[in-house]
Amino acid sequence: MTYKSVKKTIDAIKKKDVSATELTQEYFNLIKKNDKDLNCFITLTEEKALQKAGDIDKDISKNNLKPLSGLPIAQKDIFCTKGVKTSCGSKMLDNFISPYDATVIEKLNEAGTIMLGKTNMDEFAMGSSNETSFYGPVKNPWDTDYVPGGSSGGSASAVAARIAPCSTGTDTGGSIRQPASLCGICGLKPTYGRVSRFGMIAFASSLDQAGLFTTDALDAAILLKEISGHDPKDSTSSNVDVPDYYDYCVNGKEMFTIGIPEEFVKDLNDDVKDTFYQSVKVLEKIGCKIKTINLQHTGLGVSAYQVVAPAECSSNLSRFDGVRFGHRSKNMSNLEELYRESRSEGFGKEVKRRILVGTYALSAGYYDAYYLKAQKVRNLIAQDFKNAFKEVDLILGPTTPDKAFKIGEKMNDPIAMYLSDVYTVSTNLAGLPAMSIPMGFKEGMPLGLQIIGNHFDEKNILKISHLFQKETDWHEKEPGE
Amino acid sequence: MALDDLLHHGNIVDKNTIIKLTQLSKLSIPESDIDELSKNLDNILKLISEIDAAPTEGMEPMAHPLDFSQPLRDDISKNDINRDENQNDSSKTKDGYYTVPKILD
Repeated sequence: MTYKSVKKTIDAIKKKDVSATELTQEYFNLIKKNDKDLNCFITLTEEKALQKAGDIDKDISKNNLKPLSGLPIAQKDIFCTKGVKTSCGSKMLDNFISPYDATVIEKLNEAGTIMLGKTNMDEFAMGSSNETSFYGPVKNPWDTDYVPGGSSGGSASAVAARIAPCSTGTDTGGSIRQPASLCGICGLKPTYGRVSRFGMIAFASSLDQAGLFTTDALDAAILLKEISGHDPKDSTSSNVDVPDYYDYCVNGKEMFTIGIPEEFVKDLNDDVKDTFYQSVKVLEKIGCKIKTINLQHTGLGVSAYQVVAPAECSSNLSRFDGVRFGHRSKNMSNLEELYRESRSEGFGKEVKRRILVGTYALSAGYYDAYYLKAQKVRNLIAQDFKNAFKEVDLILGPTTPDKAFKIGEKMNDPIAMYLSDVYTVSTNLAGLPAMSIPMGFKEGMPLGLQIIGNHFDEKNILKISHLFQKETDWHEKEPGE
Repeated sequence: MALDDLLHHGNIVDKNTIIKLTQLSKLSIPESDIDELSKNLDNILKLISEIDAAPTEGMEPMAHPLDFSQPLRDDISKNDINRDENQNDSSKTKDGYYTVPKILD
């Protein structure tokens, strides 16, 4: 037997209604039964998990409790996990056993969670459908002909299918929020710098952020507190205090002024538009003031992102050279061939494409036209948000232009794939926090509502999400019901 | 060079450009994949070229979304990196060194 939320799970374990060992074993039973159809996991850590569960049960018997004692969790395979394969969804790291834990992993372990395994993802976090993984595509549990979204597709699908109560993800251009939307669950991307990136394999270092998948906002609030905070090992992590997000959700501010950018609604199809405005009515009913705002440069977000992210990735992925870790080619007789063949054999098509775009954008003669220009456009977009937050507390829009698409539908059209992130990339460029929560369905497939906050204002995002979820039950719907 | 100058060419990323990029990025692309890759990269660069029209005069480039400066740690010697643990893939190491094909004759 499993429980409907993280909160119910940790309360049940605390009250000894269920032991950590029983619950962990139950999740592994569910994974073995269901994951062959979904492909959410690359690595399962059953032996280690049951060992830890046993230790936690001993601690609980002595009333030695931690905030998340006994909570099973799935970890995106982009986080280094000591002694456990960390593949980043790539052949390049198929043989990589990490010698250390990422800070996110360390914090969650310390808080008492039990890792079920490492989840499947688009290779090196580059993708919006979880189809670029070396380990095969992940399926959407609402309809396995459809993608779950990406790059954190495995983490999203696992929580949506209820084979993990929660999971971690990362978001560089929408890779938590978009799969959360397509899978009908909550996905939170914190402010850049809120959560340490130490041990999180880098894609684009000025955009990447670690975050969470849960079935409701209160769960996200509980988990966010445990993973947030300054880390001396990450020089981009923030010293801003970490509030008690759960307490704020229950006791905090209730009235918000919410902005809806014209740019986020003007191109919506009728189904998504109708569902979105039904959600707006819910927020008006609970007392929120709604106003139209303008984010005039966000239309350039995808273009600017497709310069900045590939440029940064071309630099970050240069460490994969076959020398110290990862795939090393046997087809080499000199150092140049070692680098070239190891990289060419280890990386997939989309990763190579992005490295080449990034290399082009940074190369002599093109740097000013592409990279420097994109950095200035980034500032324009950030200024738009800064001005908007002078008038509103939060910004609202749909997370994605439409429901999930079919597996294979966009694989030969990179541009169509990139455009599925049209509403999410701008928040990464500006470093803002944002969350996607379920808002309804189109043709039986979930749709997500995106709430964007000002820097370090996760508490108000979580609060409004909680208030919305008190009035609706979209977040309680499960596939197959 | 402005983007609109670059875009006056019908095809931004031709075979020679791809060869140069693969040399810079230490990748090899099979001959059979070059045409498709050239078209893909062309389309991506055309998407990117939308930024050319953006009104960025006087705008500072933004490398980082928040107003942070690089923190420095205290100047205290530390030795907390365990080489043996980090070199857990022994197929690439010998006596603490990483082995590579001979560079010098």
